[in-house]
Amino acid sequence: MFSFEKSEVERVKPVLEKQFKGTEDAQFRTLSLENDQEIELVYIQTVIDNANIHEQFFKPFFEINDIQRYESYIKSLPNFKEFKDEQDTVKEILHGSIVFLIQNKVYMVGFIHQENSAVLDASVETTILGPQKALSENIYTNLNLIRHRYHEKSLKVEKLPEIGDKSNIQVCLLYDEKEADSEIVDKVKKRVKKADRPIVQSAGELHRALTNRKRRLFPTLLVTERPDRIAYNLYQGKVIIMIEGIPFVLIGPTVFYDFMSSMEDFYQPYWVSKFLIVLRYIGLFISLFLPSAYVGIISYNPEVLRIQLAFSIAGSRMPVPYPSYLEVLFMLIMMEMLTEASIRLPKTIGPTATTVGGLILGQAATDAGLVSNIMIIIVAAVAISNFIIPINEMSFAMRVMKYLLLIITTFSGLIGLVIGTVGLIYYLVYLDSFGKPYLKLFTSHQK
Amino acid sequence: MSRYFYYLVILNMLANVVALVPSILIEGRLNGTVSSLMIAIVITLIYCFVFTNSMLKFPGKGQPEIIKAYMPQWFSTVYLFLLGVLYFFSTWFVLLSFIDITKRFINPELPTLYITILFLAIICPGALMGTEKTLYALEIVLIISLPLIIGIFLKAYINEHLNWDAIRIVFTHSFDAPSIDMIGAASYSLLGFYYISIYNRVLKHRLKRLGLWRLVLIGIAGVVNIFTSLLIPIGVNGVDGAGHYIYPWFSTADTMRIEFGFIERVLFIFLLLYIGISMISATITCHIGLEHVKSIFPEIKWKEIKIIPLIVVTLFSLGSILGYFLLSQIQVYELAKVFFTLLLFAGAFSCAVLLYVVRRSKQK
Repeated sequence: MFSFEKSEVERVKPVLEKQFKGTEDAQFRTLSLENDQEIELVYIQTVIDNANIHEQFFKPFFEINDIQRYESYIKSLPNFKEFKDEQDTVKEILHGSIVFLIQNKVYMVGFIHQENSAVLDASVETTILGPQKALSENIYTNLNLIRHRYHEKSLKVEKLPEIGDKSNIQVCLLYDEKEADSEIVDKVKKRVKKADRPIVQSAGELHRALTNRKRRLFPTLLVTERPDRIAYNLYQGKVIIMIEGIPFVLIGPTVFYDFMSSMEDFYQPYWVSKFLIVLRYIGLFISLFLPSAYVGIISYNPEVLRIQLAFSIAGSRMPVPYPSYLEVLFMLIMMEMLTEASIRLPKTIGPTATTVGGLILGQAATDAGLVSNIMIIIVAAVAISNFIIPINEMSFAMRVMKYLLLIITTFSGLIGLVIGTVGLIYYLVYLDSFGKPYLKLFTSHQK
Repeated sequence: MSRYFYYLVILNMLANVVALVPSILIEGRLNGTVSSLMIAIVITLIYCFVFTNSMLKFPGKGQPEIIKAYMPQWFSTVYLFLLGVLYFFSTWFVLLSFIDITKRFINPELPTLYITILFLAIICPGALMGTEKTLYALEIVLIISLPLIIGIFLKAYINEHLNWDAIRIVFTHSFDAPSIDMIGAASYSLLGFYYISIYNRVLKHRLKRLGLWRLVLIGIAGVVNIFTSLLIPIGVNGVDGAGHYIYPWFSTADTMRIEFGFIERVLFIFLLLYIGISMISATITCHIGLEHVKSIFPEIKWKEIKIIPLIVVTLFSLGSILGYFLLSQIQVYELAKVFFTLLLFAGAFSCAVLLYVVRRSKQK
C-alpha cells in the first residue's frame, strides 16, 4: 500500500547514524555471509549484555548461514519487538535493545544488562521475624520477587510511559485486578502521565511529581522496600508504582494508619501486635506534644501540674536564665542536628558524634545551667519516640509538625496546643490520597 | 443506621451543657425546672422525629436542594438565608462563650482579639472543608474526648461532696409553672438532629428511618445529659451558691481533684477537652450555615477558587470579632435566651415546611 514510501531500514538508518555515530560506545556492526548477504546490528555496548552477545547473536548467524532462517531465529527470541517508528527505535536502543537491520526490515531484541540486580537486605524497615530481604534496583528482579510472593492470575503489570524528559525512567504499575478499584488505577495512570520533571531518581521525587499539591508535609503515598508489604498491599487492592533503578516502590492510595503500621504487626501474636501499635501511638503523641506541653505548662499554666511536680520542675529550672521556649528550641535543634549528623556521617564516625553530642553535650549543658535536667529527659524522650514511627517519611513529617505546634504554643499557651492539635486533625482529615480520605477512624476494608 | 447521626446529636448535647445553657437553667432553678425540662424534651423529640424522618425521605439530599426543588424561589431564598444566619448565630454563641472561658480560666493575659483570631483561623478553614471531612474530624475529636468527659461526669456523681439535699430542693419545685426561657435553653442542647439538614447528603444509604426506640434512646441520653448539666453544679455549689457563677460548670469542675496523676485539678483536663469539643461544634454549625447561605448564591469562581464561601466566612469572622467588642457579657446572655426561645418556634416552622415539602413530593 505504501510502496512508494521508504523502507524501514531507509527510514531508520540515517536517524540512527545521526544520533549515535559520534558516541564512543555505540556499535554499528555488519555481518556478512559468503553470498554477500549482509545484516547490520546497532546497539550501545554499555547497556547490553556484552558477555553473551557473541554466543546469542554472532555465532548462530554463521551457524545458520541463511538470512531468512536467521530472521526467524531473531523473531523467536523472548525479547523480540516489532518496529514501530524511528523515535521508538532510538528509545529502545537507549534502553538496551539491539537493532537488526535485515533486508529492509528492522527488528529489535531487548538484551539489557543491569549491574545492580542484586537483592538488598531490608535496611529501612527492618523486622525481627519477617523476611529479611528487600527489593533490588532492577525492575525485573523486583517483579520476580513480588510474583513469587503473590501467585495470583489477576495480578496485572502495566508499563507506563517513561518519566522524566531527561532521565526517561521506566515505570511499572502493579495491581490486583480483582481487588483494586479500577477508578483509582485510572487516576494513578493519569497522574503518572501528567508528571513532568526532567529527572526522576527516587520514589520520593516521583511522589512529589504525582501529588498535585506543590508543597506538602505529610506523605500521601507510601514508599516501601519490603516485598511482603507490597504483597499485602496488593491484596488490599492498592496500586504499586515501580520505578527502574530504585529499591523502593510507591504504594497508593494510602491512609494515615498505613504509615503507623509495621509488617511486624502481622508476624507477632495478636496481643503483642496490639501492644506494639498502642506503643507506637503513645510514641507519636509524646514526640508531637511533649515539647509544646512543656512550654505551655511552664510558661503559661504551671498550676496545671500537681504541686510537687511543678516544684521539682521549677527547681530543676532554677539556674536556667531564659524562658522555657528557648530552652526547648535550643535542645530540640541540637537533637535534630545529632540525628542529621548521624545519618550523613560515614558509619565509622557515627558513634563518635552521638557520644560527643548525646553524653558530653547533654551533661555539660545541664552543668552549665543552660538547660534543665528535665529538659534533657524530655528531649531524649522526644527523640526516641520519634524513631518509633515505622515509616520514615511519616516520622520526618512529625518531626517538622512538632515545631509548628511548639510555635503556636509558645505564642498562646496551652490553648494554642489544643487549637494546634485540632488544626492538625483538620489538616490530616482534609488530605486525601488518590481520592481516598487520608485520616478516618474505623476504615473498613470493603470495596 | 449511621453512627455519624448519633455523633452529631451527642456533639450538640455535649457542646451546650457547659456554657450558656446551664447558666440559664440554674438561674431558674427554683421555678419549675423539672416541668420545663420535661416539656422541652418532649417538644424537641417530636421535632426530631418529624424533621429527621422527613429529611430521610430524600436520601442523599440536603435541605437547600429539597427546599429549592419544591418551594417557590422567593420563599426558598429567604428561608435558607435565615436558616443560615441562625446557624451562624449558634456558631457565634459557642465561639463567644469559649473565648470568654479561655480568657477567664486559662490565659487571662492574652488579648481577646488574638484568641478570637486564633479560634477563627481553625474554625473557618474547617468549615470550608468537604462535608464528609468535617464528619471524620468530628469522629476523631469525639472518640478522644467523650470517654474522658463521661469519666469526669461520673466522677462528679460519685463525689463525696455532692450534696443530694440541694438537688432534692430543686425537685420540690418540680411542678411550678414552666418558663419559656428554660424550655428554650433545655431544648437547645437536643437540637443536634437539625444538622442532618446538610449531613443528609453524605449519610446516603446508611440511615433509613429514625425508629421510635432510637428516638427514646436519644431522649434518655438527652434527659441524663440535661439533668447532669443542671444538677451537678447545684449539688456541688449548693442551691444558692450555684447561682453565683457565670460558668457554673467550670467552677464545679474546679472542685474536683485527681489524687494520683500528673494533673491534680480536673478543671484543666475538662477545659482543654471542651475547647476541642466546642471548636468542632463551631466548625460544624459554621459549615451548615455556610452550606445554607452558599446555596442561594450562584457559583462564582475566581482563578478556580469558589469565592462565595470565602466571602461568607470572612463576613462571619468580622461579625464575630465585632460582636465581642460591641456586646457585654450580660447582653450576650440575654440575647442567648431570646435566641434559644426563637429556635423553639423556628423548629416548629421548619418542621411544618418540611412536612409540606414531603406532601408535595408525594403528589408529584
